[in-house]
Amino acid sequence: MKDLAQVAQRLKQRVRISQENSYLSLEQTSAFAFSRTSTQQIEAALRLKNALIEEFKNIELSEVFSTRLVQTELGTFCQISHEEKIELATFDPAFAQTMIESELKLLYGVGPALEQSLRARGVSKLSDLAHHPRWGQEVQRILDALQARDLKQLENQLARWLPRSHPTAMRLAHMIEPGSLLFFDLESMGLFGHPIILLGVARPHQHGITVHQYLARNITEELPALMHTFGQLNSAQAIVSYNGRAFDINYVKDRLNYYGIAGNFEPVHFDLLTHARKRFRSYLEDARLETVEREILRRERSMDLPSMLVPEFYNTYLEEKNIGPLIPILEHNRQDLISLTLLFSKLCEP
Amino acid sequence: MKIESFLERLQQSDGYRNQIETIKIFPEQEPIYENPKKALSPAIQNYLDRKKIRLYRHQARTIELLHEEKNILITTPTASGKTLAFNLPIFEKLSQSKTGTALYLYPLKALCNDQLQSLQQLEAGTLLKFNASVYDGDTPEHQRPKIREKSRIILSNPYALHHYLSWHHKWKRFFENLQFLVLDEAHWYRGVFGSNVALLLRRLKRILHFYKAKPQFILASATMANPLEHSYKLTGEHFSLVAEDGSSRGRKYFVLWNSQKNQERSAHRQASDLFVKSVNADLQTLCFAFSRKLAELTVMWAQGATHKNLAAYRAGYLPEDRRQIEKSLKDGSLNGVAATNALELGIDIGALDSVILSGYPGTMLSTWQRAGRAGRSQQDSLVTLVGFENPLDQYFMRHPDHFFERPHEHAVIDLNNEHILLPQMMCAAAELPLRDTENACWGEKTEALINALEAQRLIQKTPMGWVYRGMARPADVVSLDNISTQTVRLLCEGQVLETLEYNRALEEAHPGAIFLHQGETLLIENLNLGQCVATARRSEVDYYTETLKSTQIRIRSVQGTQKWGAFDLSYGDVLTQHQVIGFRTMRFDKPLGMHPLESPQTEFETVALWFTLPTELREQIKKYGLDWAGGLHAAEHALIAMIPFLALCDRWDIGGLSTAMHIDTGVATIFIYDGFQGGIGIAEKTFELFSELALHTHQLVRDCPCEKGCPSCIYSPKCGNGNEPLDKSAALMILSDLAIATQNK
Repeated sequence: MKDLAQVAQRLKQRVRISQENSYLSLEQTSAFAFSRTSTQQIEAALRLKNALIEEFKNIELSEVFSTRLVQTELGTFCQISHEEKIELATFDPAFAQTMIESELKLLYGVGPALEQSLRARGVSKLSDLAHHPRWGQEVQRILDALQARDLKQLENQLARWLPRSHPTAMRLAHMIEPGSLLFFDLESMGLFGHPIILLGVARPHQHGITVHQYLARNITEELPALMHTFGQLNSAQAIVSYNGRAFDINYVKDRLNYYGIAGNFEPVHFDLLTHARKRFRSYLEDARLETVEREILRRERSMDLPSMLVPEFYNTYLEEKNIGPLIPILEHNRQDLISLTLLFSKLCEP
Repeated sequence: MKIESFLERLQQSDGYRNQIETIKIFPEQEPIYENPKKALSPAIQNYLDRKKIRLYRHQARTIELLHEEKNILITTPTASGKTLAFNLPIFEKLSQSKTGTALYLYPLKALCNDQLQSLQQLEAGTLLKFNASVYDGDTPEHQRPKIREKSRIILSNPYALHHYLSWHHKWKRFFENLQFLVLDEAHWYRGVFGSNVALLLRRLKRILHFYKAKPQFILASATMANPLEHSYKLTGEHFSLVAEDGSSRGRKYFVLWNSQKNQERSAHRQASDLFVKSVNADLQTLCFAFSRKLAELTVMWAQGATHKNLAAYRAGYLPEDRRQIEKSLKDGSLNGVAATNALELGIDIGALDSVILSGYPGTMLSTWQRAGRAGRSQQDSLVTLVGFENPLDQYFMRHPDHFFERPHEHAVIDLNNEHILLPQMMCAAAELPLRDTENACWGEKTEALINALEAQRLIQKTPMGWVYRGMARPADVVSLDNISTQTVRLLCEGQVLETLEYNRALEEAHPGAIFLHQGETLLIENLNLGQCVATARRSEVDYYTETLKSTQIRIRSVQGTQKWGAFDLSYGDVLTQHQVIGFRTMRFDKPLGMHPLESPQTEFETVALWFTLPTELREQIKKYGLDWAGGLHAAEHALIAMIPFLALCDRWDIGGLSTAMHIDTGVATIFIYDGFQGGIGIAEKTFELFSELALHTHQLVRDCPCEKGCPSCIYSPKCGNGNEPLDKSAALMILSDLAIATQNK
């Protein structure tokens, strides 16, 4: 079937051209807050890619990183692990409890004005209204949730009356056992509708964090890596992301649905983008993680891969069968996770 | 009475040149009422009673078939109450559950908005609430989630659906509960667009299958020759047909007006004159013109000759302005409108007294759709077809019986074109992984298609099936309108005016070409094939250009043969090779100059039919001192001109080649091929209907009063040889032999 092969070849070309055009339009419009990349940066990155191909010729991933092949019912994927020494903020459940208990705006109909007049009448915390005819029941529900450490219920209650970016929402984190938090960031082949190639999670422990990166070395490994990550996200007490509410979590659901798996889950979720945006608005030109990292966390990356070039690098890895272009993708994802934990700590500070 | 006296006066007026070739009178029809066998639910029946609506027989039949859970196809004429006929049982069924949904697809956005109004009125009238909403590219982002989650009736179009399918999980609620899929104006889905939509519907059905939904299909269409074949190809479903119209009709006068009888006034001016006379006689009139520009000119010319209230109507006007015109037509405050085909579709403007078709619209189907705009119930109405100079128009002017008696065309859809199948399958792979059980969607080529995509690493096999792994969103790459190969952008003063397919750009946008863009004349200055850009400037010139090109055809495989006497007819796959070799500048059909060009040779595979001619015929023709090559060439042109008479297509969709000696057949051969990569079903359909084609083409050339050939018979507007050589007498000999041979079986 020579003709059909030609038709397919032309189709492939069209797909490629369309992809290349989308780089250009991203660059020109820079409408995306997350991909403001100059032509120079792109050129530098492409030079880097060639250098990496040279550098990593005939080298296996396992020679560079601590890797492990994970076998699941659905197939195999590759896990890459790192230990990072990071000092996290100390969490204080009592502090969270006090903060939430004194947030009167968590009650139906209480806005700033009513709050003020309540405070003027000596009401300083929710329990003062435990027997109030109007709010008593609601107060009891919140206190019960606090008692039971029902984070989902508390998150919902907070989200119902306060903006997502409200500092009290962040305080909730103090009620969580750090070891059951999961930091999450993914790398994909584009904006929705494309495969996910790397899922990174970080879990705090006494001496720092453990980063696990689940890499799909080709598309057959996407689903096993996804399912593995999905299991972890589901069993974590809460997850922490940067723009994950709009992007990462929906992306995971989208891909699971593509494979015909209903991926519905609603974890307790600290999306640091909204908090960082609110907290640092006056200092920063934008709220990209890179900017926050540089200006607030005072971290510099020696080399960073612009997100929009991830597909290009990954494809080269596939086509050349050379792990070189994969290195900066893994590194980019690991750095994002480290920054995420540091930023989380910063935002949790009382 | 009013119409009759109008026609009498017309024939007595100054300047009348016996242009009326015929007046055909269609008698009035009494309405046939009937109630469906199974009573409608009280809410619906109450609505009908309150509105004093009695159902016609075809409406009752539609309701009954839907009650029996059949798929239905309605082809009754414009304004026969098709929409109400299926909306009632849809409303009834949806009201019986809390969750059932219905999806209505229209080929154009404007129709969605028009139909939304009537659905909302029905909601209000029946007190049933389904939150009918339009969901398309214009729907504001913030309204979308609510519509997906709440609306039980959604109206959209195929272009939008093409993009939404990969988000199907967001549509889970709507798809899971889908009970009806309505495709209105289904005749619109033909050719390249139709073939793409047919596969888009296969993609939708895969997803519905995934959500375990199996809706009833409802198709509404203009009358066509092959409604059941077409609807099956379009959807992969079987349908019960409702075709017999039971609505009431007034008497209709159909006039064939031959503009060529009056050489002093152009056909367009004559149409405008008729428009004026018609509105001056207090007939509310709609005049259909070919282009936006012509619609506006018609009104402008007419306004100089009448004080009646006139307007032009076309796509590109603001929706509010169009609504206003529609409303003024309905309430009678507007006496006349000149429109493009934008008013051919089912937009509600009420019925008019008189419709003028300025030129044969290209298909019988459009002709009757447009003619259906005339005729209020019980009142006389008038339709006038102004025949132009071209072959098909003139054929009808001279053969009114063929015009009025002929069945409508065959709509063609090709489900085997790999150029359409492969991109569509790629889209599907990005929506749900492809499984082994895909044959229902993609036919017998499934495996080969999957292999081809896999070989290009566009999909990859995983335990979950073949998954898409390309880098771009397939729906962004694949267009429903084109068999997109490369495209060339046409730039004028820094603006992109349009994009052309690569081959078309080579032929029509070469340096020096005069290019018409929406009535504007552009001079092409440069064509850069590397960057795929043509640059042009606006220019007022008094000449036009004709491209000269050489075409070669090689036969790849033969799919079918028929023997007609001494003529051997075949169809199959061919490779066509084209090269633009130059162009001529022309003024009033007179060549001014010749300009050679160097351009790359292009080729594409397509489907063709061809027939070989006996050598005895050549000898006879030579004996009379006639030109054999000129005869073959002229016969080819005439045959191509008549194909749109059989299959729904444009003569521009078809290419041809005639040669006194073809390398693959070894003898004189005439080829007719689909102008689209991979073919779109025209050649195949023509092969089936060849004897009809031969008969009508012979009549066309025989009855044309010209002596040596003219644009009404054997001249082709797109001939790559500048219409040389042509020999009408030789063509007539060939065509008469062919007609006799094919009628003998």
